[in-house]
Amino acid sequence: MKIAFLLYKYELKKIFSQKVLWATLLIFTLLTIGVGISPILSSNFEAGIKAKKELSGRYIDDVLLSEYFDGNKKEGFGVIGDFIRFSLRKNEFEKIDEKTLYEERISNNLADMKKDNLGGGEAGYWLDKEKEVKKPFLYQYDEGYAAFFGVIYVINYMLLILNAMAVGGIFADEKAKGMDNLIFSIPLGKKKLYGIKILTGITFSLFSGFVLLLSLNILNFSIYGFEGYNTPIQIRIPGCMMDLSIGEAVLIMEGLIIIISVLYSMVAAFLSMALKNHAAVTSVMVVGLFLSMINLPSKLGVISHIWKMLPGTFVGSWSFAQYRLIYVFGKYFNYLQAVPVIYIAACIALIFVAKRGYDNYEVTGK
Amino acid sequence: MQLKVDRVSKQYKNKIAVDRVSFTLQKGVTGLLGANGAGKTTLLRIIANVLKPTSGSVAFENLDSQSEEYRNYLGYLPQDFGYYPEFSGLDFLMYVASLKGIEKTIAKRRINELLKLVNLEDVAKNKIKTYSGGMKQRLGIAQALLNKPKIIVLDEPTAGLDVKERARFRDMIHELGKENIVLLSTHIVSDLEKVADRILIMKEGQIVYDGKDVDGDLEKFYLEMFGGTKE
Repeated sequence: MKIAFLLYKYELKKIFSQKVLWATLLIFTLLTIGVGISPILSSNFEAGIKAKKELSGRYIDDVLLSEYFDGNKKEGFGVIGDFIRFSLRKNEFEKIDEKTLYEERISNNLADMKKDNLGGGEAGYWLDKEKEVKKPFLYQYDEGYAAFFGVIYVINYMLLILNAMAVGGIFADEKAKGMDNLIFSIPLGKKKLYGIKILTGITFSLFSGFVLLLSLNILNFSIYGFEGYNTPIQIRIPGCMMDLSIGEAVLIMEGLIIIISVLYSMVAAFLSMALKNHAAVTSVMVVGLFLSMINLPSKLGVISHIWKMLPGTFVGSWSFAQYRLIYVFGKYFNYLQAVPVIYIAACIALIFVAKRGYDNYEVTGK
Repeated sequence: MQLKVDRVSKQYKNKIAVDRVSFTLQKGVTGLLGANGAGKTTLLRIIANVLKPTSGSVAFENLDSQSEEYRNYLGYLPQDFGYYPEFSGLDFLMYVASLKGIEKTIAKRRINELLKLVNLEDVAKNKIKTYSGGMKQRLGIAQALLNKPKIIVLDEPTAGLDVKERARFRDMIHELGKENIVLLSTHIVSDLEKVADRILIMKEGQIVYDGKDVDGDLEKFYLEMFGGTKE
Protein backbone atom coordinates (compact mmCIF):
# COMPACT_ATOMS: atom_id res chain seq x y z
CA MET A 1 0.00 0.00 0.00
CA LYS A 2 2.85 2.35 0.90
CA ILE A 3 4.52 1.55 -2.42
CA ALA A 4 1.28 2.21 -4.29
CA PHE A 5 0.96 5.56 -2.53
CA LEU A 6 4.54 6.48 -3.44
CA LEU A 7 3.92 5.60 -7.09
CA TYR A 8 0.71 7.62 -7.01
CA LYS A 9 2.69 10.58 -5.64
CA TYR A 10 5.20 10.31 -8.48
CA GLU A 11 2.49 9.98 -11.12
CA LEU A 12 0.92 13.16 -9.75
CA LYS A 13 4.32 14.84 -9.83
CA LYS A 14 4.65 13.96 -13.52
CA ILE A 15 1.35 15.68 -14.27
CA PHE A 16 1.84 18.70 -12.07
CA SER A 17 5.42 19.32 -13.19
CA GLN A 18 4.11 20.36 -16.62
CA LYS A 19 4.59 24.12 -16.57
CA VAL A 20 2.30 24.62 -19.54
CA LEU A 21 -0.50 23.05 -17.52
CA TRP A 22 -0.08 25.47 -14.65
CA ALA A 23 0.05 28.36 -17.11
CA THR A 24 -3.20 27.16 -18.75
CA LEU A 25 -4.91 26.65 -15.40
CA LEU A 26 -3.87 30.15 -14.36
CA ILE A 27 -5.13 31.67 -17.63
CA PHE A 28 -8.43 29.81 -17.31
CA THR A 29 -8.88 30.89 -13.71
CA LEU A 30 -8.16 34.50 -14.67
CA LEU A 31 -10.57 34.22 -17.60
CA THR A 32 -13.27 32.87 -15.27
CA ILE A 33 -12.65 35.78 -12.93
CA GLY A 34 -12.62 38.22 -15.85
CA VAL A 35 -15.92 36.95 -17.24
CA GLY A 36 -17.40 36.95 -13.74
CA ILE A 37 -16.45 40.49 -12.85
CA SER A 38 -17.16 42.07 -16.23
CA PRO A 39 -20.78 42.99 -15.30
CA ILE A 40 -19.44 45.04 -12.37
CA LEU A 41 -17.80 47.37 -14.85
CA SER A 42 -21.20 48.30 -16.30
CA SER A 43 -22.34 51.77 -15.21
CA ASN A 44 -25.80 50.66 -14.05
CA PHE A 45 -24.59 47.53 -12.24
CA GLU A 46 -25.32 48.83 -8.73
CA ALA A 47 -28.72 50.22 -9.73
CA GLY A 48 -29.68 46.94 -11.43
CA ILE A 49 -28.81 44.89 -8.36
CA LYS A 50 -30.69 47.29 -6.10
CA ALA A 51 -33.79 47.12 -8.32
CA LYS A 52 -33.71 43.32 -8.41
CA LYS A 53 -33.42 43.19 -4.65
CA GLU A 54 -36.44 45.50 -4.37
CA LEU A 55 -38.38 43.17 -6.65
CA SER A 56 -37.32 40.15 -4.61
CA GLY A 57 -40.15 38.39 -2.76
CA ARG A 58 -42.82 39.23 -5.36
CA TYR A 59 -44.95 36.65 -7.16
CA ILE A 60 -45.13 36.81 -10.94
CA ASP A 61 -48.88 37.35 -10.85
CA ASP A 62 -51.44 39.75 -12.28
CA VAL A 63 -50.36 42.53 -9.92
CA LEU A 64 -46.71 42.34 -10.98
CA LEU A 65 -47.60 41.87 -14.66
CA SER A 66 -49.77 44.99 -14.53
CA GLU A 67 -46.89 46.97 -13.08
CA TYR A 68 -44.65 45.63 -15.78
CA PHE A 69 -46.98 46.37 -18.67
CA ASP A 70 -48.39 49.65 -17.40
CA GLY A 71 -45.20 51.52 -18.02
CA ASN A 72 -43.80 51.06 -14.57
CA LYS A 73 -40.89 49.03 -15.86
CA LYS A 74 -38.03 49.39 -13.45
CA GLU A 75 -34.43 48.38 -13.88
CA GLY A 76 -34.92 45.03 -12.10
CA PHE A 77 -37.91 44.13 -14.23
CA GLY A 78 -35.59 42.82 -16.93
CA VAL A 79 -35.73 39.40 -15.34
CA ILE A 80 -39.55 39.48 -15.56
CA GLY A 81 -39.35 40.57 -19.19
CA ASP A 82 -37.02 37.66 -19.94
CA PHE A 83 -39.38 35.25 -18.21
CA ILE A 84 -42.31 36.46 -20.34
CA ARG A 85 -40.22 36.45 -23.53
CA PHE A 86 -38.93 32.91 -23.04
CA SER A 87 -42.32 31.63 -21.87
CA LEU A 88 -44.07 33.02 -24.96
CA ARG A 89 -41.10 32.33 -27.26
CA LYS A 90 -41.54 35.87 -28.62
CA ASN A 91 -39.31 38.90 -28.50
CA GLU A 92 -42.22 41.32 -28.90
CA PHE A 93 -45.40 40.80 -26.92
CA GLU A 94 -48.57 42.55 -25.86
CA LYS A 95 -49.93 42.87 -22.35
CA ILE A 96 -50.77 39.47 -20.96
CA ASP A 97 -52.45 38.27 -17.79
CA GLU A 98 -51.13 35.72 -15.34
CA LYS A 99 -53.41 32.85 -16.38
CA THR A 100 -52.68 33.22 -20.10
CA LEU A 101 -48.96 33.60 -19.49
CA TYR A 102 -48.69 30.39 -17.45
CA GLU A 103 -50.89 28.48 -19.92
CA GLU A 104 -48.89 29.77 -22.87
CA ARG A 105 -45.68 28.66 -21.18
CA ILE A 106 -46.94 25.08 -20.94
CA SER A 107 -48.43 24.98 -24.42
CA ASN A 108 -45.17 26.32 -25.88
CA ASN A 109 -43.23 23.68 -23.99
CA LEU A 110 -45.57 21.01 -25.42
CA ALA A 111 -45.14 22.50 -28.91
CA ASP A 112 -41.35 22.16 -28.50
CA MET A 113 -41.82 18.49 -27.64
CA LYS A 114 -43.88 18.04 -30.78
CA LYS A 115 -41.16 19.70 -32.86
CA ASP A 116 -38.73 17.15 -31.43
CA ASN A 117 -41.10 14.34 -32.56
CA LEU A 118 -41.73 13.28 -28.99
CA GLY A 119 -44.65 11.02 -28.27
CA GLY A 120 -47.54 11.11 -25.82
CA GLY A 121 -45.54 9.21 -23.23
CA GLU A 122 -43.06 12.03 -22.92
CA ALA A 123 -45.72 14.75 -22.85
CA GLY A 124 -47.60 12.85 -20.14
CA TYR A 125 -44.43 12.46 -18.09
CA TRP A 126 -43.66 16.17 -18.23
CA LEU A 127 -47.23 17.26 -17.54
CA ASP A 128 -47.16 15.06 -14.43
CA LYS A 129 -43.91 16.72 -13.38
CA GLU A 130 -45.35 20.15 -14.09
CA LYS A 131 -48.16 19.47 -11.59
CA GLU A 132 -45.53 19.51 -8.81
CA VAL A 133 -44.33 22.98 -9.81
CA LYS A 134 -45.82 25.64 -7.53
CA LYS A 135 -47.39 28.66 -9.24
CA PRO A 136 -47.38 31.58 -9.51
CA PHE A 137 -43.61 31.76 -9.38
CA LEU A 138 -42.09 33.66 -6.52
CA TYR A 139 -39.21 35.80 -7.70
CA GLN A 140 -36.34 36.08 -5.26
CA TYR A 141 -33.10 37.87 -5.93
CA ASP A 142 -30.93 35.02 -7.31
CA GLU A 143 -28.14 36.65 -9.29
CA GLY A 144 -25.40 34.57 -7.60
CA TYR A 145 -26.98 31.41 -9.03
CA ALA A 146 -28.15 32.84 -12.35
CA ALA A 147 -24.62 34.07 -13.10
CA PHE A 148 -23.43 30.47 -12.79
CA PHE A 149 -25.43 29.42 -15.84
CA GLY A 150 -23.98 32.28 -17.85
CA VAL A 151 -20.46 30.77 -17.82
CA ILE A 152 -20.80 27.10 -16.96
CA TYR A 153 -20.45 25.95 -20.58
CA VAL A 154 -17.12 27.81 -20.75
CA ILE A 155 -15.94 25.95 -17.64
CA ASN A 156 -16.91 22.75 -19.42
CA TYR A 157 -14.67 23.59 -22.39
CA MET A 158 -11.83 24.60 -20.08
CA LEU A 159 -12.03 21.27 -18.28
CA LEU A 160 -11.83 19.39 -21.54
CA ILE A 161 -8.67 21.23 -22.53
CA LEU A 162 -7.07 20.88 -19.09
CA ASN A 163 -7.76 17.15 -18.90
CA ALA A 164 -6.51 16.60 -22.44
CA MET A 165 -3.28 18.42 -21.57
CA ALA A 166 -2.74 16.76 -18.20
CA VAL A 167 -3.98 13.22 -18.71
CA GLY A 168 -3.32 12.95 -22.45
CA GLY A 169 0.31 12.10 -21.72
CA ILE A 170 -0.36 9.58 -19.00
CA PHE A 171 0.49 6.60 -21.24
CA ALA A 172 1.78 8.40 -24.33
CA ASP A 173 4.66 10.07 -22.49
CA GLU A 174 5.97 6.68 -21.38
CA LYS A 175 6.56 5.86 -25.01
CA ALA A 176 7.80 9.32 -25.93
CA LYS A 177 10.32 9.30 -23.08
CA GLY A 178 11.31 5.68 -23.71
CA MET A 179 10.20 4.65 -20.24
CA ASP A 180 7.85 1.93 -21.50
CA ASN A 181 10.85 -0.39 -22.01
CA LEU A 182 11.81 -0.05 -18.41
CA ILE A 183 8.36 -0.12 -16.85
CA PHE A 184 7.31 -3.27 -18.66
CA SER A 185 10.42 -5.15 -17.50
CA ILE A 186 9.71 -4.47 -13.83
CA PRO A 187 7.73 -6.83 -11.58
CA LEU A 188 5.03 -4.34 -10.60
CA GLY A 189 5.32 -2.56 -13.97
CA LYS A 190 2.13 -2.85 -15.95
CA LYS A 191 0.17 -4.63 -13.27
CA LYS A 192 0.04 -1.98 -10.60
CA LEU A 193 0.89 1.08 -12.62
CA TYR A 194 -2.24 1.00 -14.76
CA GLY A 195 -4.57 1.38 -11.81
CA ILE A 196 -2.36 4.06 -10.28
CA LYS A 197 -2.26 6.02 -13.54
CA ILE A 198 -6.04 5.88 -13.81
CA LEU A 199 -6.37 7.02 -10.22
CA THR A 200 -3.96 9.87 -10.95
CA GLY A 201 -6.06 10.90 -13.97
CA ILE A 202 -9.20 10.88 -11.85
CA THR A 203 -7.45 12.90 -9.14
CA PHE A 204 -6.46 15.56 -11.66
CA SER A 205 -9.97 15.71 -13.12
CA LEU A 206 -11.45 16.19 -9.65
CA PHE A 207 -8.81 18.77 -8.77
CA SER A 208 -9.33 20.81 -11.95
CA GLY A 209 -13.12 20.52 -11.67
CA PHE A 210 -13.12 21.71 -8.07
CA VAL A 211 -10.63 24.53 -8.71
CA LEU A 212 -12.65 26.00 -11.57
CA LEU A 213 -16.02 25.54 -9.87
CA LEU A 214 -14.68 26.95 -6.64
CA SER A 215 -13.25 29.99 -8.43
CA LEU A 216 -16.58 30.52 -10.14
CA ASN A 217 -18.63 30.08 -6.95
CA ILE A 218 -16.41 32.28 -4.81
CA LEU A 219 -16.55 34.95 -7.46
CA ASN A 220 -20.29 34.81 -8.06
CA PHE A 221 -21.27 34.67 -4.41
CA SER A 222 -18.84 37.38 -3.38
CA ILE A 223 -20.23 39.70 -6.07
CA TYR A 224 -23.93 38.84 -5.84
CA GLY A 225 -24.40 37.11 -2.46
CA PHE A 226 -25.97 33.78 -1.58
CA GLU A 227 -29.62 34.87 -1.63
CA GLY A 228 -32.17 33.20 -3.86
CA TYR A 229 -31.36 29.51 -3.49
CA ASN A 230 -35.08 28.67 -3.46
CA THR A 231 -36.09 30.74 -6.49
CA PRO A 232 -37.99 28.50 -8.94
CA ILE A 233 -35.72 27.70 -11.87
CA GLN A 234 -38.64 28.37 -14.24
CA ILE A 235 -38.10 32.12 -13.81
CA ARG A 236 -34.72 31.73 -15.53
CA ILE A 237 -35.54 28.67 -17.65
CA PRO A 238 -39.30 28.73 -18.36
CA GLY A 239 -38.94 25.55 -20.43
CA CYS A 240 -38.08 23.53 -17.35
CA MET A 241 -41.01 21.43 -16.13
CA MET A 242 -39.42 20.04 -12.97
CA ASP A 243 -40.00 21.20 -9.43
CA LEU A 244 -36.51 22.58 -8.94
CA SER A 245 -35.07 25.69 -7.37
CA ILE A 246 -32.23 27.54 -9.05
CA GLY A 247 -29.93 26.59 -6.16
CA GLU A 248 -30.72 22.91 -6.66
CA ALA A 249 -30.17 23.29 -10.39
CA VAL A 250 -26.73 24.80 -9.75
CA LEU A 251 -25.84 21.92 -7.43
CA ILE A 252 -27.01 19.36 -10.02
CA MET A 253 -24.98 21.07 -12.72
CA GLU A 254 -21.90 21.25 -10.49
CA GLY A 255 -22.16 17.52 -9.75
CA LEU A 256 -22.52 16.89 -13.45
CA ILE A 257 -19.47 19.02 -14.23
CA ILE A 258 -17.38 16.96 -11.80
CA ILE A 259 -18.55 13.72 -13.48
CA ILE A 260 -17.84 15.25 -16.90
CA SER A 261 -14.36 16.24 -15.79
CA VAL A 262 -13.70 12.61 -14.79
CA LEU A 263 -15.13 11.49 -18.14
CA TYR A 264 -12.79 13.86 -19.99
CA SER A 265 -9.82 12.48 -18.08
CA MET A 266 -10.80 8.91 -18.93
CA VAL A 267 -11.28 9.80 -22.60
CA ALA A 268 -7.81 11.40 -22.50
CA ALA A 269 -6.34 8.30 -20.81
CA PHE A 270 -7.97 6.03 -23.39
CA LEU A 271 -6.75 8.14 -26.31
CA SER A 272 -3.31 8.34 -24.71
CA MET A 273 -3.23 4.54 -24.71
CA ALA A 274 -4.61 4.26 -28.25
CA LEU A 275 -2.68 7.05 -29.99
CA LYS A 276 0.54 7.02 -27.92
CA ASN A 277 0.97 10.68 -28.71
CA HIS A 278 0.19 13.46 -26.24
CA ALA A 279 -0.27 16.21 -28.85
CA ALA A 280 -2.58 13.98 -30.89
CA VAL A 281 -4.76 13.33 -27.82
CA THR A 282 -5.16 17.06 -27.19
CA SER A 283 -5.92 17.71 -30.86
CA VAL A 284 -8.52 14.93 -31.11
CA MET A 285 -10.27 16.12 -27.97
CA VAL A 286 -10.34 19.76 -29.04
CA VAL A 287 -11.67 18.80 -32.50
CA GLY A 288 -14.29 16.66 -30.72
CA LEU A 289 -15.24 19.68 -28.64
CA PHE A 290 -15.79 21.85 -31.72
CA LEU A 291 -17.80 19.12 -33.42
CA SER A 292 -20.02 18.71 -30.38
CA MET A 293 -20.97 22.39 -30.67
CA ILE A 294 -22.83 21.62 -33.90
CA ASN A 295 -26.54 21.36 -33.28
CA LEU A 296 -27.96 18.29 -34.99
CA PRO A 297 -31.63 18.48 -36.04
CA SER A 298 -34.09 16.21 -34.25
CA LYS A 299 -35.11 14.54 -37.52
CA LEU A 300 -31.82 12.61 -37.35
CA GLY A 301 -33.46 10.52 -34.63
CA VAL A 302 -31.17 8.39 -32.49
CA ILE A 303 -28.05 10.24 -33.69
CA SER A 304 -29.39 13.58 -32.51
CA HIS A 305 -30.60 11.84 -29.36
CA ILE A 306 -27.06 10.68 -28.55
CA TRP A 307 -25.56 13.95 -29.76
CA LYS A 308 -27.57 15.95 -27.23
CA MET A 309 -26.12 13.83 -24.46
CA LEU A 310 -22.49 14.64 -25.32
CA PRO A 311 -20.87 16.77 -22.61
CA GLY A 312 -20.03 19.57 -25.06
CA THR A 313 -23.70 19.85 -26.02
CA PHE A 314 -25.35 19.00 -22.75
CA VAL A 315 -23.79 21.39 -20.26
CA GLY A 316 -25.79 24.58 -19.91
CA SER A 317 -29.11 25.85 -18.62
CA TRP A 318 -30.82 24.27 -21.65
CA SER A 319 -30.25 20.79 -20.24
CA PHE A 320 -33.04 21.53 -17.73
CA ALA A 321 -35.45 21.86 -20.64
CA GLN A 322 -34.52 18.68 -22.53
CA TYR A 323 -37.78 16.83 -22.97
CA ARG A 324 -36.60 13.63 -24.55
CA LEU A 325 -36.82 10.65 -22.23
CA ILE A 326 -35.07 7.32 -22.05
CA TYR A 327 -37.32 4.34 -21.56
CA VAL A 328 -35.65 1.55 -19.57
CA PHE A 329 -37.16 -1.32 -17.56
CA GLY A 330 -40.67 0.02 -18.06
CA LYS A 331 -39.76 3.43 -16.65
CA TYR A 332 -39.05 6.82 -18.15
CA PHE A 333 -35.85 8.64 -17.20
CA ASN A 334 -35.15 12.23 -18.16
CA TYR A 335 -31.75 13.34 -19.42
CA LEU A 336 -30.69 14.76 -16.07
CA GLN A 337 -31.23 11.35 -14.51
CA ALA A 338 -29.80 9.26 -17.34
CA VAL A 339 -26.83 11.30 -18.50
CA PRO A 340 -24.74 11.06 -15.29
CA VAL A 341 -25.27 7.28 -15.25
CA ILE A 342 -24.28 7.06 -18.93
CA TYR A 343 -21.15 9.17 -18.28
CA ILE A 344 -20.11 6.98 -15.34
CA ALA A 345 -20.73 3.83 -17.41
CA ALA A 346 -18.66 5.34 -20.23
CA CYS A 347 -15.82 6.04 -17.76
CA ILE A 348 -15.85 2.42 -16.57
CA ALA A 349 -15.96 1.11 -20.15
CA LEU A 350 -13.03 3.34 -21.17
CA ILE A 351 -11.00 2.14 -18.17
CA PHE A 352 -11.51 -1.49 -19.20
CA VAL A 353 -10.85 -0.95 -22.89
CA ALA A 354 -7.66 1.02 -22.18
CA LYS A 355 -6.58 -1.70 -19.72
CA ARG A 356 -6.89 -4.27 -22.46
CA GLY A 357 -4.76 -2.07 -24.73
CA TYR A 358 -2.16 -1.64 -21.98
CA ASP A 359 -2.02 -5.39 -21.31
CA ASN A 360 -1.48 -6.15 -24.99
CA TYR A 361 0.86 -3.25 -25.62
CA GLU A 362 4.31 -4.23 -26.82
CA VAL A 363 7.28 -1.94 -27.02
CA THR A 364 8.30 -1.17 -30.57
CA GLY A 365 10.76 1.19 -32.21
CA LYS A 366 13.90 2.36 -30.48
CA MET B 1 22.95 -20.07 -12.02
CA GLN B 2 22.00 -20.01 -15.68
CA LEU B 3 19.82 -18.16 -18.13
CA LYS B 4 18.54 -20.33 -20.94
CA VAL B 5 17.37 -18.85 -24.23
CA ASP B 6 15.72 -21.64 -26.17
CA ARG B 7 14.87 -21.36 -29.88
CA VAL B 8 13.55 -17.81 -29.51
CA SER B 9 12.04 -16.14 -32.58
CA LYS B 10 10.27 -12.86 -33.09
CA GLN B 11 8.42 -12.07 -36.26
CA TYR B 12 6.88 -8.71 -37.24
CA LYS B 13 4.51 -9.07 -40.18
CA ASN B 14 6.97 -9.85 -42.99
CA LYS B 15 10.20 -9.47 -41.03
CA ILE B 16 11.90 -12.00 -38.80
CA ALA B 17 13.80 -9.90 -36.26
CA VAL B 18 15.09 -12.84 -34.21
CA ASP B 19 15.38 -16.25 -35.78
CA ARG B 20 15.52 -19.40 -33.60
CA VAL B 21 18.17 -18.13 -31.23
CA SER B 22 19.45 -20.47 -28.51
CA PHE B 23 22.17 -20.09 -25.92
CA THR B 24 22.75 -20.51 -22.21
CA LEU B 25 24.46 -17.87 -20.09
CA GLN B 26 26.36 -18.39 -16.85
CA LYS B 27 27.88 -15.91 -14.39
CA GLY B 28 30.12 -13.42 -16.17
CA VAL B 29 29.92 -10.77 -18.86
CA THR B 30 28.62 -11.82 -22.25
CA GLY B 31 28.91 -9.36 -25.07
CA LEU B 32 26.31 -9.25 -27.80
CA LEU B 33 27.71 -7.72 -30.96
CA GLY B 34 26.00 -6.93 -34.20
CA ALA B 35 25.38 -4.20 -36.71
CA ASN B 36 22.34 -1.95 -36.40
CA GLY B 37 19.23 -3.95 -37.26
CA ALA B 38 20.83 -7.30 -36.48
CA GLY B 39 18.13 -8.04 -33.88
CA LYS B 40 20.11 -7.32 -30.70
CA THR B 41 17.59 -4.95 -29.13
CA THR B 42 14.66 -7.25 -29.97
CA LEU B 43 16.46 -10.20 -28.40
CA LEU B 44 17.31 -8.20 -25.28
CA ARG B 45 13.72 -6.99 -25.00
CA ILE B 46 12.54 -10.58 -25.10
CA ILE B 47 15.03 -11.52 -22.38
CA ALA B 48 13.91 -8.47 -20.39
CA ASN B 49 10.30 -9.58 -20.81
CA VAL B 50 9.31 -6.36 -22.54
CA LEU B 51 8.43 -8.28 -25.71
CA LYS B 52 6.82 -11.67 -26.03
CA PRO B 53 8.63 -14.01 -28.41
CA THR B 54 6.66 -15.38 -31.36
CA SER B 55 8.07 -18.77 -30.39
CA GLY B 56 10.62 -20.21 -28.02
CA SER B 57 11.27 -19.44 -24.38
CA VAL B 58 13.59 -17.74 -21.94
CA ALA B 59 14.09 -19.10 -18.43
CA PHE B 60 16.26 -18.36 -15.43
CA GLU B 61 16.75 -21.32 -13.08
CA ASN B 62 13.52 -22.84 -14.44
CA LEU B 63 11.61 -19.58 -13.94
CA ASP B 64 9.87 -18.66 -17.19
CA SER B 65 10.53 -15.09 -18.33
CA GLN B 66 6.80 -14.39 -18.37
CA SER B 67 6.61 -14.91 -14.61
CA GLU B 68 6.75 -12.14 -12.05
CA GLU B 69 9.45 -14.03 -10.09
CA TYR B 70 11.70 -13.93 -13.15
CA ARG B 71 11.42 -10.14 -13.27
CA ASN B 72 12.52 -9.95 -9.63
CA TYR B 73 15.91 -11.26 -10.75
CA LEU B 74 16.15 -8.92 -13.70
CA GLY B 75 17.89 -5.55 -14.06
CA TYR B 76 17.48 -3.89 -17.43
CA LEU B 77 18.95 -0.78 -19.00
CA PRO B 78 17.13 -0.19 -22.28
CA GLN B 79 18.68 1.51 -25.26
CA ASP B 80 17.92 5.25 -25.56
CA PHE B 81 15.86 5.13 -22.48
CA GLY B 82 14.44 8.44 -21.41
CA TYR B 83 13.81 10.03 -18.07
CA TYR B 84 11.32 12.35 -16.52
CA PRO B 85 13.35 15.56 -16.79
CA GLU B 86 11.57 17.26 -13.89
CA PHE B 87 12.49 14.43 -11.52
CA SER B 88 15.70 14.57 -9.54
CA GLY B 89 18.02 11.56 -9.78
CA LEU B 90 16.86 10.59 -6.30
CA ASP B 91 13.17 10.88 -7.25
CA PHE B 92 13.76 8.79 -10.33
CA LEU B 93 15.47 5.99 -8.42
CA MET B 94 12.77 6.09 -5.75
CA TYR B 95 10.12 5.88 -8.48
CA VAL B 96 11.77 2.86 -10.12
CA ALA B 97 12.30 1.26 -6.70
CA SER B 98 8.54 1.60 -6.08
CA LEU B 99 7.82 0.00 -9.45
CA LYS B 100 10.12 -2.84 -8.44
CA GLY B 101 8.13 -3.24 -5.24
CA ILE B 102 10.98 -2.26 -2.90
CA GLU B 103 9.87 -0.85 0.45
CA LYS B 104 10.75 2.80 1.03
CA THR B 105 13.28 2.31 3.85
CA ILE B 106 15.07 -0.52 2.04
CA ALA B 107 14.97 1.49 -1.18
CA LYS B 108 16.54 4.54 0.48
CA ARG B 109 19.45 2.47 1.78
CA ARG B 110 19.96 0.75 -1.56
CA ILE B 111 19.75 4.04 -3.47
CA ASN B 112 22.47 5.55 -1.28
CA GLU B 113 24.74 2.57 -2.00
CA LEU B 114 24.10 2.81 -5.72
CA LEU B 115 24.54 6.57 -5.91
CA LYS B 116 27.98 6.03 -4.38
CA LEU B 117 28.72 3.22 -6.81
CA VAL B 118 27.83 5.28 -9.87
CA ASN B 119 29.34 8.44 -8.42
CA LEU B 120 26.17 10.53 -8.49
CA GLU B 121 25.89 11.26 -4.75
CA ASP B 122 26.58 14.97 -5.09
CA VAL B 123 24.00 15.57 -7.81
CA ALA B 124 21.31 13.18 -6.57
CA LYS B 125 18.93 16.00 -5.72
CA ASN B 126 19.47 17.88 -8.97
CA LYS B 127 16.91 17.58 -11.77
CA ILE B 128 17.78 14.98 -14.39
CA LYS B 129 17.49 17.58 -17.13
CA THR B 130 20.71 19.12 -15.76
CA TYR B 131 22.64 15.82 -16.08
CA SER B 132 25.18 15.09 -18.81
CA GLY B 133 24.76 12.04 -21.08
CA GLY B 134 27.24 10.09 -18.97
CA MET B 135 25.47 10.95 -15.72
CA LYS B 136 22.17 9.81 -17.21
CA GLN B 137 23.69 6.50 -18.27
CA ARG B 138 25.12 6.00 -14.79
CA LEU B 139 21.70 6.73 -13.36
CA GLY B 140 20.35 4.14 -15.79
CA ILE B 141 22.79 1.56 -14.45
CA ALA B 142 21.81 2.45 -10.88
CA GLN B 143 18.11 1.86 -11.58
CA ALA B 144 18.91 -1.50 -13.17
CA LEU B 145 20.75 -2.59 -10.02
CA LEU B 146 18.13 -1.44 -7.50
CA ASN B 147 16.67 -4.89 -6.91
CA LYS B 148 20.09 -6.62 -6.70
CA PRO B 149 19.41 -8.49 -9.93
CA LYS B 150 21.03 -11.75 -10.95
CA ILE B 151 20.47 -11.10 -14.66
CA ILE B 152 21.67 -7.71 -15.86
CA VAL B 153 20.73 -6.78 -19.41
CA LEU B 154 22.39 -3.67 -20.80
CA ASP B 155 21.45 -2.43 -24.25
CA GLU B 156 24.11 -0.12 -25.73
CA PRO B 157 25.02 1.29 -22.32
CA THR B 158 28.08 3.16 -23.55
CA ALA B 159 26.38 5.00 -26.41
CA GLY B 160 27.12 8.69 -26.17
CA LEU B 161 29.75 8.37 -23.44
CA ASP B 162 33.21 9.85 -23.66
CA VAL B 163 36.36 7.74 -23.38
CA LYS B 164 36.78 8.32 -19.64
CA GLU B 165 33.14 7.51 -18.87
CA ARG B 166 33.35 4.40 -21.02
CA ALA B 167 36.39 3.15 -19.13
CA ARG B 168 34.60 3.70 -15.81
CA PHE B 169 31.62 1.84 -17.18
CA ARG B 170 33.71 -1.13 -18.24
CA ASP B 171 35.17 -1.42 -14.75
CA MET B 172 31.72 -1.37 -13.23
CA ILE B 173 30.44 -4.02 -15.63
CA HIS B 174 33.48 -6.19 -14.93
CA GLU B 175 32.72 -6.06 -11.19
CA LEU B 176 29.05 -6.89 -11.76
CA GLY B 177 29.98 -9.87 -13.91
CA LYS B 178 31.79 -11.54 -11.00
CA GLU B 179 28.54 -12.37 -9.25
CA ASN B 180 25.87 -12.03 -11.93
CA ILE B 181 24.90 -12.87 -15.45
CA VAL B 182 25.60 -9.72 -17.47
CA LEU B 183 24.47 -9.50 -21.06
CA LEU B 184 25.82 -6.42 -22.76
CA SER B 185 24.81 -5.37 -26.23
CA THR B 186 26.88 -3.01 -28.30
CA HIS B 187 28.11 -2.37 -31.79
CA ILE B 188 31.41 -0.99 -30.45
CA VAL B 189 33.95 -3.80 -30.39
CA SER B 190 36.40 -2.11 -28.02
CA ASP B 191 33.76 -2.07 -25.27
CA LEU B 192 33.89 -5.83 -25.15
CA GLU B 193 37.53 -6.67 -25.77
CA LYS B 194 38.63 -6.06 -22.19
CA VAL B 195 35.51 -6.97 -20.30
CA ALA B 196 33.62 -9.81 -21.98
CA ASP B 197 34.10 -13.44 -20.96
CA ARG B 198 32.11 -14.55 -23.95
CA ILE B 199 31.03 -13.01 -27.23
CA LEU B 200 27.83 -13.59 -29.20
CA ILE B 201 27.60 -12.06 -32.66
CA MET B 202 24.23 -11.53 -34.27
CA LYS B 203 23.49 -11.12 -37.94
CA GLU B 204 20.05 -11.00 -39.55
CA GLY B 205 18.38 -12.28 -36.41
CA GLN B 206 20.68 -15.23 -35.87
CA ILE B 207 23.68 -15.93 -33.66
CA VAL B 208 26.53 -16.38 -36.11
CA TYR B 209 29.32 -16.58 -33.55
CA ASP B 210 29.43 -17.80 -29.95
CA GLY B 211 32.84 -17.95 -28.27
CA LYS B 212 35.50 -16.19 -26.24
CA ASP B 213 37.52 -14.55 -28.96
CA VAL B 214 38.22 -15.10 -32.62
CA ASP B 215 41.84 -16.04 -33.11
CA GLY B 216 42.69 -13.38 -30.56
CA ASP B 217 41.43 -10.62 -32.81
CA LEU B 218 37.77 -9.90 -32.28
CA GLU B 219 37.96 -6.55 -33.96
CA LYS B 220 39.40 -7.95 -37.18
CA PHE B 221 36.82 -10.71 -37.31
CA TYR B 222 33.99 -8.30 -36.64
CA LEU B 223 35.16 -5.76 -39.17
CA GLU B 224 35.46 -8.44 -41.81
CA MET B 225 31.97 -9.63 -41.06
CA PHE B 226 30.13 -6.32 -40.81
CA GLY B 227 32.41 -3.54 -41.83
CA GLY B 228 31.71 -2.09 -38.36
CA THR B 229 33.83 0.29 -36.32
CA LYS B 230 36.12 -0.16 -33.41
CA GLU B 231 35.05 3.06 -31.76
